[in-house]
Amino acid sequence: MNKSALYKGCLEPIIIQLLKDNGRMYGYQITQKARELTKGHLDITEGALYPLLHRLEEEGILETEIESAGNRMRKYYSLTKAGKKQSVQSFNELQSFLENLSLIFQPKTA
Amino acid sequence: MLSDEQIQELYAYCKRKSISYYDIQVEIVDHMANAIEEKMQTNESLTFKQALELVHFSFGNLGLREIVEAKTTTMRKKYRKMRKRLFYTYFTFPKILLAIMILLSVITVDRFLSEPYLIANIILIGLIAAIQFLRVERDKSKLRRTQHEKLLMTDPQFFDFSFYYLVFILQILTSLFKKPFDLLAGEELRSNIQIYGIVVIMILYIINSLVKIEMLNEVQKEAKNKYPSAFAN
Repeated sequence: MNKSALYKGCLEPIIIQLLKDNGRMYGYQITQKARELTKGHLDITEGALYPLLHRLEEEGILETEIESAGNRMRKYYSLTKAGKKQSVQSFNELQSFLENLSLIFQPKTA
Repeated sequence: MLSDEQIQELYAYCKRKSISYYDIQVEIVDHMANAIEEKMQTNESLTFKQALELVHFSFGNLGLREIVEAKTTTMRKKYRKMRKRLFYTYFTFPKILLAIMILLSVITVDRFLSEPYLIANIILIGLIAAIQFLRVERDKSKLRRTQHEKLLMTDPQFFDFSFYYLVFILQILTSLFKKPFDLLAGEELRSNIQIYGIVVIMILYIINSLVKIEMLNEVQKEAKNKYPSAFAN
């Protein structure tokens, strides 16, 4: 089965969690951090990452700052107050999703 | 670290790939530059051009287009919400007084004065609407003039909305139901409905223009704040 398809539905909570743990981050940094934490298993494509970041920004979950990084501009994302609240909710939802999945996939003991 | 020329080459690359909006280019260029730098560090024999090709492969033409399309959809949703929010404020006190006053002026003139006064009154409202149209155009061209980089967030497509179609709907409805209207309410009332209908549409047009002006100002302020380098000093 396609691995990225499995991660696709969880991309939003993953990004929110990464921003919660690391403060502000820029797009490329998010993809690298996700790859590093999952030991190369999670490869977030640009076509999936940026539309999601832009949507979360317009929904008021993320805020942005644009700064100069040497000879280029860099856009940083961080959680807004509403985003921090959302991070608790999305963490709980993901937690219950994982529990439900384990009910289906864990080896039956009885 | 990539040189200034190489960064400019990445901007040119974005333009070649039909990414003409600066607010998207900024992010793509930084992302590609990071990816290229990493590839060149891992494999020191790679040239900038070769690394760009590898990075382009990972993005793909579709990937770039998807980013623009998704952002356009997001912005459209955002501006639709903004438009609704601003529009509804004109139906709350004290702004609602503007619409009531215009409508009352027409009803009063229609009731108590002769026809030439009514026509003059409607022409006056038409003039206010025309002035609003000119104000919107002035603000749009001001935005175009001050920006030296094209931004998706200030793209004219998000500010082209109006109520012209309502005039046609009113015309079609009143002519389609001319006979039943005349039978039920009389010819005079039908023509009154037409006149008042047109006035209501003009009021909506004026409100719509005021909303556009507010939106343009709000968006321009946000754009200047986020992308000062896209604006002329």
